[in-house]
Amino acid sequence: MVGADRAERAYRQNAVGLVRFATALVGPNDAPDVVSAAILSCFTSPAWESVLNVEAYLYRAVLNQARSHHRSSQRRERRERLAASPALVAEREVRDDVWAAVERLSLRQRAVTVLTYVDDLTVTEVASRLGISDGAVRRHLARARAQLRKGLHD
Amino acid sequence: MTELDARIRAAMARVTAEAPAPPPFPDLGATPSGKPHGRRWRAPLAVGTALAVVAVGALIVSRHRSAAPRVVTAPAPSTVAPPADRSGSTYAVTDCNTIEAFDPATGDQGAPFQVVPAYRHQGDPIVDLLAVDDHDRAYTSSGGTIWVVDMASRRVLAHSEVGGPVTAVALAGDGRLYATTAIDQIHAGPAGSNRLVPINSVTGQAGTPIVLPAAPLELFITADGHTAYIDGAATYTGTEPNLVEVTPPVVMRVDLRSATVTIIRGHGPSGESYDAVFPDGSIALSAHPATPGHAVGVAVIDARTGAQMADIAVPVAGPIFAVVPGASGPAYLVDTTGNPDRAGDPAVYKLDLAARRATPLAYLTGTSGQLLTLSPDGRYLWIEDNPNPRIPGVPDQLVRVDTTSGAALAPLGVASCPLEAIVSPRGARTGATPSPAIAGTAKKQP
Repeated sequence: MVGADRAERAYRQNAVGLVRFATALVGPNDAPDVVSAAILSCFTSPAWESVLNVEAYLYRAVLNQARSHHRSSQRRERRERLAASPALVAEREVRDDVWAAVERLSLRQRAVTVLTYVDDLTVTEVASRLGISDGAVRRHLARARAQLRKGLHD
Repeated sequence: MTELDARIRAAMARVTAEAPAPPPFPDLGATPSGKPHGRRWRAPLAVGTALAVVAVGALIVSRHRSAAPRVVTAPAPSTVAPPADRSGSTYAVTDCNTIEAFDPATGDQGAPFQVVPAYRHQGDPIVDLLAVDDHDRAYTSSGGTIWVVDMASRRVLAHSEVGGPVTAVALAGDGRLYATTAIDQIHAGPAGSNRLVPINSVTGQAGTPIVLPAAPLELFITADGHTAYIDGAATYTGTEPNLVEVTPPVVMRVDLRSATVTIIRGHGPSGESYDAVFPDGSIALSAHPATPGHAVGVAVIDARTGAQMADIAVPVAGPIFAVVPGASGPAYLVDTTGNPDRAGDPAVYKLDLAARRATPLAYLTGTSGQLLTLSPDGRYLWIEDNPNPRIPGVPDQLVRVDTTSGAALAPLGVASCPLEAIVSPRGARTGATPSPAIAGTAKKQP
């Protein structure tokens, strides 16, 4: 099956980067779930065969899936807090200062930051991968830097 | 690249270092062909005008594409790396292909890390430890491969093929990694084979190389990460012992932002090229080759222009091993057989560049003095104690010299002879005592 072969090849080439990207967006525990759901939705979509920029398509899918994941996890947390007594509500995972600073960024800011600083992409490359304009990348990056300046301490 | 950029890069590197293994490829065959899983939203989301806010402004059309149960491949279990131990300084010493870690204060050794399984297929058994950053990531090379090793978790994080034998690696102040490659350091190599390669220090991904006009020997990056100074080898013709120099050694300055290479000639009087460059790129040091029983000169050179600023005479008894500059202030030199009290043992000199004076700092016993590394805070000088063949029974150890008092502190035993050492800047940054971390390698013994 040509489509499946293409999908598998695309996944093999991008899997590590996608999981790293997802880790920055949702944390290491949920990253595999987010990537699994994203690639499944990509590879089973009728649009998959006509995708030209496979890498950008996969990264956008992971970002969208991360956004959906955030929404559902926030809903779940709210439900649990309403339903359970305070003593039974699980404490949020305790993370260190670096994670705390990163978690204060919006998903888009995180995405732009990780692609810029970890994957070493230029503004134009980040824009192409996320399907947004160069100006939007610069804007998100500037805001992320301002946030991180406050949050990161030696 | 600002300090903030460097901090963000380090923070994101730390965040993404926890990335687990990718989940397996999903079983697409479990889905009816051409039918996407689950729910698919067809775009039409009609947004009304501001006046129509009360009315529904969006129409969402959805359809179920398949009645088949959603098949989601179970993700691989998360394999989150254990948090790095940041409680204290750690020493890492590599012997051939084993990196050992130990605390300089207590001498406690951690579990050795075997690099061999990770690179055995490369066919090159020698690992050179080239740099350690302030997150305890060690950068090693074997042949044309750069390995990024997380010393905290003892994991190889990434590796990169840089397209030729690695001659030097340097970390820029902004966290970027650079490597130089040369296929032939004696004769003119193939065109384009001498290169400076930027490497993503997180992913190990090699970037676009910068072609150099001569074979690179040593690499120095200024603290701001903007400029590289590279020692270029002379080019010879013929075969040993009748090599004839056809091109003198050059020093190359590379503007890393524009990838432009400029040749500057900043050699000492004898034509030796740089031994060391100060972190701000202002001063380079070049030691003349020593002849036993004679003084040698250390040329102090303006690295930016190549102009010679001073020449410091050092009375040496034997070969000198290296000259190392501090972050600012003095530099140090080891005369490997210059101990007047015990012939054959090394003497350490402190070089006062302003006064153009060399003064003895310490006389060591029982060491070969063939390793010289200065901690980033300038407090300690590390000298490898590869057993002096003239003095039997001396174990392999590292000797630490206090640069203020010249006192040699208690040596640290290692498994076998280390021939290289690198001091991690982490301890200096955190103010950990008594010294920052050190890492070293030993090349395969002949």
